[in-house]
Amino acid sequence: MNWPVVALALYLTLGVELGSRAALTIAGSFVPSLLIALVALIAAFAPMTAALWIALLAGALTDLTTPVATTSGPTIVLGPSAVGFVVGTYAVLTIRGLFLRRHATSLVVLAVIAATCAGLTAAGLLAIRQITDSGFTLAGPQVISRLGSALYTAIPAALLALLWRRAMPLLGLNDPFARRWDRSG
Amino acid sequence: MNPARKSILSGTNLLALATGLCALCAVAPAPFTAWVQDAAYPVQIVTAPVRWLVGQVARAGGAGTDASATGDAPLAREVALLTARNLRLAAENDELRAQVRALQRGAELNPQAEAMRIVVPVIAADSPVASGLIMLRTGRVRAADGSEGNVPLGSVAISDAVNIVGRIVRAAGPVADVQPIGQAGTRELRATIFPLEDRADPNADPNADPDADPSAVQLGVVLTPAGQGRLRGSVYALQLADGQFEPAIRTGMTVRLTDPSWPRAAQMLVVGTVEAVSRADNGRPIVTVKPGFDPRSLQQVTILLTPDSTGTLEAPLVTPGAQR
Repeated sequence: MNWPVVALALYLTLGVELGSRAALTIAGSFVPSLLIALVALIAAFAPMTAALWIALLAGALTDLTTPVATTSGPTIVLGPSAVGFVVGTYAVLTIRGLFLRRHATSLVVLAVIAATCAGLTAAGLLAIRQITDSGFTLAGPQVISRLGSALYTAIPAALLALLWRRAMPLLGLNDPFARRWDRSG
Repeated sequence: MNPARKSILSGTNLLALATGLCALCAVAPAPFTAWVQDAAYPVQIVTAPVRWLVGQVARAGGAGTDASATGDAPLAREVALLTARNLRLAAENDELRAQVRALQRGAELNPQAEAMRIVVPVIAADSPVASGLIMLRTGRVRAADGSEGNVPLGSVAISDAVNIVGRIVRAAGPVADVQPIGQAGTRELRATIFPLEDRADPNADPNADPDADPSAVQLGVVLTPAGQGRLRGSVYALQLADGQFEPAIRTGMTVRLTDPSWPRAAQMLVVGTVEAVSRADNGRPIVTVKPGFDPRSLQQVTILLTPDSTGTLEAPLVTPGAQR
């Protein structure tokens, strides 16, 4: 794993996501997550512990840059996306063996699964927060918007997947199938 | 190292610990996680350059700069360019005329309005599904005593000279966040519709007395966020002349701020225009108001720096410092 390049990729992806979020919003509440797509693609090939650390970091960065709309105003909540990204990445790590990871469609499906798990986990944690914190009331429904956003994430994930084979060597990720073929060749 | 200790500090255990702490932060009540608000700013400042760059590109793409070819002949191209320029100038002219009218109208209704205005660029707007906050590059504000500080919380951001964008809800160092009106989570705001003000509007009431004082008829409305950036509220009569019936409310009518909880300089600025009118069970009209700005296309906003933004400023503001 080439950590400096991974950090740079996370930084740029986060900036692109934050800068384009308003322009990419559709139906009033559906926003794609470029960062979870990147994390999911990394998780498809990276070692487990490294992938989970990257997910935690990316989720924490998302939390710190994306205030949650509450009835008392926007509030920074550290944790929902961080834990959600870890859960989503763990789901990808668990099922990645079932997918033909060299195929772009597989990567898109893995990204959508990761985004769905991350979104539902974040929505669940925010729902718990509403119970534990009497002054914290979400200003809008979470589950539907996060599920829609997860599906919408398929589009940036597809774009990333098309570039992925070129990006993998830069990120220091190994394609196990390619190595096997190289030996046979 | 002791093997037992090594296993406790292994990467997997640390990861589980960090994830658990994050989960705890997510569900812990606000008093225990207040430090997170401060921790967020360095991250937001570090990501601001890329965010701003992408925001500019997104806005430029959204504007749809049409440069379609109009033929190979240089003359035809020249004609097309001149036509486009003429149309653009005409549009700008109309826009400026409308702004002047709106400014004159606002100043007429609120002659005490005075505030220092600084124009600041928009870094990026967050999605309405998240917080909807609009991040600004404000720089530092210098007070009369020479001290520098953040933009006062509660200052009002406006666009196109008259349209209220929202209020500053967070400010740290060179950046500040505006919470737009109409965004979920914002407080209700009081506004007033002046039905006679829009007599020049082709949709306005043709039977209205052209010599009547526009401020003679006022309809109050308490607006709350209604989703999609809109505001909605029930209308009630504030002021009617003797023997006058409550006038009909039509789409396109201008809604102006008359909320005492907002700074004085923001009074009578434009909240938006009436987009839809419906009736409540008790027969009262309910209006849906569309704010006069689009967060996705905002390039810059004007901040009204007023000492009464927070009521805590000790020195009068004289000049913005080190903005660029």
